[in-house]
Amino acid sequence: MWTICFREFRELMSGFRPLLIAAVLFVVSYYTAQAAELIPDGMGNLSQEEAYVAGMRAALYVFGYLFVFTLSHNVVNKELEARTIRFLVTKASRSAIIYGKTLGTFLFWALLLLLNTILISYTAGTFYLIDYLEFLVFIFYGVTAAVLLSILIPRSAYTMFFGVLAAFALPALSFWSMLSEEWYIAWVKFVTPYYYFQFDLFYMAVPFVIGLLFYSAADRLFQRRDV
Amino acid sequence: MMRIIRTENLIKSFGRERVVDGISLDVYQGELFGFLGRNGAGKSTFINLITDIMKPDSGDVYLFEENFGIDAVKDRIGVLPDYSSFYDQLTGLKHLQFFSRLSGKPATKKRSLEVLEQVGLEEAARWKVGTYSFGMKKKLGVAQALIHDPELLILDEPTSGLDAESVIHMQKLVQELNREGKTIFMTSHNLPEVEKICSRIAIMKEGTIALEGSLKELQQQFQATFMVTIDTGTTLGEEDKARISRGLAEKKRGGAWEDGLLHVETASEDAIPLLVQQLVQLHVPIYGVSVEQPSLEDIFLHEPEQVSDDLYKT
Ligand SMILES: Nc1ncnc2c1ncn2[C@@H]1O[C@H](COP(=O)(O)OP(=O)(O)O)[C@@H](O)[C@H]1O
Ligand SMILES: [Mg+2]
Repeated sequence: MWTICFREFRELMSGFRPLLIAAVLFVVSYYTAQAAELIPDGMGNLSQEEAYVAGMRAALYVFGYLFVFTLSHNVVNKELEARTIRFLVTKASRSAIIYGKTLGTFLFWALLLLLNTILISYTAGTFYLIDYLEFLVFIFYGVTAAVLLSILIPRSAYTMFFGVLAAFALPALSFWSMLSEEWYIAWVKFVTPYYYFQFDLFYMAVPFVIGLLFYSAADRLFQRRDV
Repeated sequence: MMRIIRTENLIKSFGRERVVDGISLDVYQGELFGFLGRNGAGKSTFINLITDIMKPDSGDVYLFEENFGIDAVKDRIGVLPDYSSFYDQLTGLKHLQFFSRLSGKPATKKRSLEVLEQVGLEEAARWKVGTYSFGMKKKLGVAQALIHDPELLILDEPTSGLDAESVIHMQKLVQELNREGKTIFMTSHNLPEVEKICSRIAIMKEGTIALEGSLKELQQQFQATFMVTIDTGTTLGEEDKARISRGLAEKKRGGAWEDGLLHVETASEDAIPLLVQQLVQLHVPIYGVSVEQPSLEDIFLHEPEQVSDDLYKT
């Protein structure tokens, strides 16, 4: 399990991608906060401290799932396509493979978000612990969704397409849902994480549980799959 | 004796095609078991079913007489799967270290290099696998099956695609590992190979096991029919041939013509003199007689048309 986890983590860490993502997150967070300060009275009634974390939140809203899905849409099916999975399943349990891959991907994001949160916290002069935990749940939801997608659809060309589609649809539909009373869209906000950000951390339990459901569906599907 | 592999009525279909059609097989501790069949017989699918690569439609697999499923014993088996590949960017050595950690028995660099030497890859240990030839990948496949020192080796065509020298090396390695006490289950489509190294054999045909036993038992079980071919020269016309065929049919024999050659099947060697007498009574001009007994290989391993289509036509 740890072997798979570390391998996945290291693979994501390699190259320029983590630097690029970290840079985008930080730059967007920072300048959103700066922009907010320029407007008299801030954005709405945000304090200056809140402006920075609001900036990071905005960056995650817009780019978070896009990054998660472009990096991890093929976390499982790439190994199905390459046939490397056959060596893995003869050596480790199928659950351990899914667990390792999910955890490795999640740890990668947890580390990136931690770095960004620390940078933002340093700039703002206060540590955003609660917000960091909320970001973790947000990312966990995306990572488990990507793992599920990658098992549900065996072709990585398709998961790339559906992943990017989901990355745009999730925030778009969620915000529409928050603003609309129409029955056909109003429910969407309850099954995605965005809506719950406005409440206490406690409410993030809902997207976390949904993430767990994605994960267990991925595990179940993979148990039955011929590889 | 412990049954290291036991399957009960294993069934697997792809679409409408039943590729493994109810196989029940026991492999005992210490055996070097050869699983033979022509291409497409379903050998690899059977191996995939017993190694968790594929899930059977129905039936059961028990390894090491264990009832808790294959996950409990994965660290005790080494598998060379068909149709698999490596990570092109990793070296052979790195693969072995990764795979051994994966099976929960991390190998030292020394151990990994030893195993690479065993399969004849010592020189390529630090090359990226992307640069390996087909044969080298096959050897690395055997190495990764060995790296965690498993009790059971399941090898799908370990010698196919290797050059002649490597084939012999691989056969010796397999025999040596077996002598060291490992149980080995291997597939092959090459009867001489299996005759040479295996202690017990099963022949798979169209999803089922057609024959099973030691080589000797197999040849006894397999009562081949004799094919008698009579050279009638060039004198017979179509009418004569038809008359002779009718005559044979009255005596409950099938005969097939191929120009001047008449092919007739008999169930045993003892029946051949009687057949010749009957042919004389039918005024068949006999210029020559030849008798052939198709081998196990002809029946089970060659492509079907080589045996049945021409010769067994009646
Ligand atoms: N994943 C698969 N999907 C569909 N058909 C398959 C699959 N794997 C094998 N087959 C078919 O099953 C049959 C048996 O294949 P296989 O088990 O590889 O035979 P062998 O190893 O004896 O050559 C072949 O007709 C092959 O095309
Ligand atoms: Mg095969």
